[in-house]
Amino acid sequence: MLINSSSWKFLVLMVISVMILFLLFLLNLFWGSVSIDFSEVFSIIAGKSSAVSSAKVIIVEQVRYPQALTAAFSGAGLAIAGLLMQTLFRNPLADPSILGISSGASLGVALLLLSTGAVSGHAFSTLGWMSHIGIVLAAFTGSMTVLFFITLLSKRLNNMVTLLIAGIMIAYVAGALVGVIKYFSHKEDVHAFVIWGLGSFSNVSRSQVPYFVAYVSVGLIVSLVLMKPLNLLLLGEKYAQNLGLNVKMNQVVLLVVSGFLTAVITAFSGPIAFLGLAVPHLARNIFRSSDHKILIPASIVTGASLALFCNLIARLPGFDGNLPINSVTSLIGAPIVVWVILKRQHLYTGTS
Amino acid sequence: MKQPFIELRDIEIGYRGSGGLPKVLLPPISLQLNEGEFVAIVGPNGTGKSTLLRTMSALLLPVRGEILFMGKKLQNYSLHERALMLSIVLTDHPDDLFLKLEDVVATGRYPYLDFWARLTKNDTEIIEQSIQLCGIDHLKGRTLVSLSDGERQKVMIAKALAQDTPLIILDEPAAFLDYPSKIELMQLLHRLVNTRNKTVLFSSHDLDLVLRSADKMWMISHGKPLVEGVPEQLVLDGTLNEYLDKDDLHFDAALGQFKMTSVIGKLVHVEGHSLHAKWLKNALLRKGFQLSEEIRAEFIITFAEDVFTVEHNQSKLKYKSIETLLYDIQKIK
Repeated sequence: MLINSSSWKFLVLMVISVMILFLLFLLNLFWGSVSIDFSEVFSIIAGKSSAVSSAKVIIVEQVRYPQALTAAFSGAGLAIAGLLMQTLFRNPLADPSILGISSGASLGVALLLLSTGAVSGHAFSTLGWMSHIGIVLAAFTGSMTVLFFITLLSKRLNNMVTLLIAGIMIAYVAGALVGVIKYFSHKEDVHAFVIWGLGSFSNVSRSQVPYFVAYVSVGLIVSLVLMKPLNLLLLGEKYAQNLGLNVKMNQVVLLVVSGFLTAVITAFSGPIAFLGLAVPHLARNIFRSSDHKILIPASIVTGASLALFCNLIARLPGFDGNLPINSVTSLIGAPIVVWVILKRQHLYTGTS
Repeated sequence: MKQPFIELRDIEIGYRGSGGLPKVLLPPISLQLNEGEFVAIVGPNGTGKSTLLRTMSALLLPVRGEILFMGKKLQNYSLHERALMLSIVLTDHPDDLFLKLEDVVATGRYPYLDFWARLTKNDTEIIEQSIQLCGIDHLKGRTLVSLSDGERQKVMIAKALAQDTPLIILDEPAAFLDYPSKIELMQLLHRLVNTRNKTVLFSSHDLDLVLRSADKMWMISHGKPLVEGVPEQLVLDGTLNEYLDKDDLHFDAALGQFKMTSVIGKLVHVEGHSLHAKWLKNALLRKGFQLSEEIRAEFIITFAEDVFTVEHNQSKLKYKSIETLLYDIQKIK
């Protein structure tokens, strides 16, 4: 951001990225098993829906629009959660799902399903709108617990690889516990849990979308405020402290923000792999920067775009209904991560 | 009475382990650091150089005692006040792939920036000046990971300069540098002391380098109390050799060089003070011979007309190269 030419480059790239984001958003409204004309979608968006058949209005307004919003905000939120954790741990492989944080969310949700089923004798899924608040809280508690353990471990272990292995082990333990809990749960709840675990951007209904968007926005807005501490933490804890940063406090804030984003998104859309890991790398490579003033907006836009793109793939014509979004993001995200790792070697030696 | 810039009062440095007693590395230290001084902490690895520097940078609390900055306890300054008082250069560098040189130097201005870290015109000027003073303008636009160790060290020093603090603390700044880069680095630090009135405190295990550059030395060794002094004074009163802590190495005050302690011990007398005589002495010392001023030595070597003549047991041998000479006299039992 020092030199004017780089600010210009950022602006141009940002405008292009936002345009791609809008294009993908519109495509998400057009594209699906029911074909709806461009003109029809535009008139629905413009509010002149009287000219279009009511079924199509319902599909766009009640199904595709909330789904596209959920995808965009999930992608943006996970990207930010991943970016914060990568800077916090100074580890390019840090990510909510790899460190077992989304597994923690799964465990929280599974525990909630079991305990309510066992205590009240009713399947949790019959509780209606209450169940969503419950799942959000359970996922949040679960992911924060894992996050807490990861933070404790990160203080003791300076070795990134060890911490990563610890995170993967935590994920296994959480997975095993989820298995035990499923065994004791109501059939309806197990089914609901399995569906939740496949991940989907269509879980959030039209009436819930505003809440989801609001929760994620809180996380995104807070992350914008963290640009200065994030840039300092990039230098390492000691340099950051010497430059006047309260390192401990900011680390906790970062963990809470990324944990909150992961928890909210995992609760609503299920565990979604690779977006949090791949998008920050994608943003760094596209914008060629490590400055969080650039990376935070860049990750938000790139994350939203990639999630919308994955959602399009999941709804490719020819498939009946939606593919599990978790599989699609893995299929697209994993090659990106491999590409980034291969590219790292060139960056260590070259200037560009 | 003038208040000292920095004062260490009976501080004991060390680490607090989990639960047990703190591990104290050195006897209590009491000394002062004045403005505009260029001080080197010298001592073998593992004696507590880094710990002392970290304690003085407020990254670590002293086990006992207190550090005063301009009469006020270091711990009583806020994080922000400390950021304006002292800057650090460490041995580990940021390793983010896309971190550019200018971005790193710009972080030196962060203590002065607003909430959104917006650089003012004044900030960009200071960053530019710092980059120029460290002689790294030609590297602008490069990422930190693509630079050499010496270049990276200069970037971190430019960051410290941009931070604009009266005190700069550097932990082993010369450790991974080749010899010309070490000298260049010392010249840069000297420039900061002389032209910018900075106080510079750095650690090094490279005594040779410190003797060539530092204005003052703080010497530590395993368990011995810290001694301070002008390098030349420490050489003259024998403190340097006392603290060297190595049996096979000593500082030869007359030659102004470090020498391996003689292992063969055979006496050699080299006549004259010509350039050839000087470098032959160097080779002989390296091979473990003892130089003698007396002409009754076991070997007497003279140099004339491009030929070395070795006198030994009434026999005279002539050599054109130092290599064959060394080879032969090592064989003589």
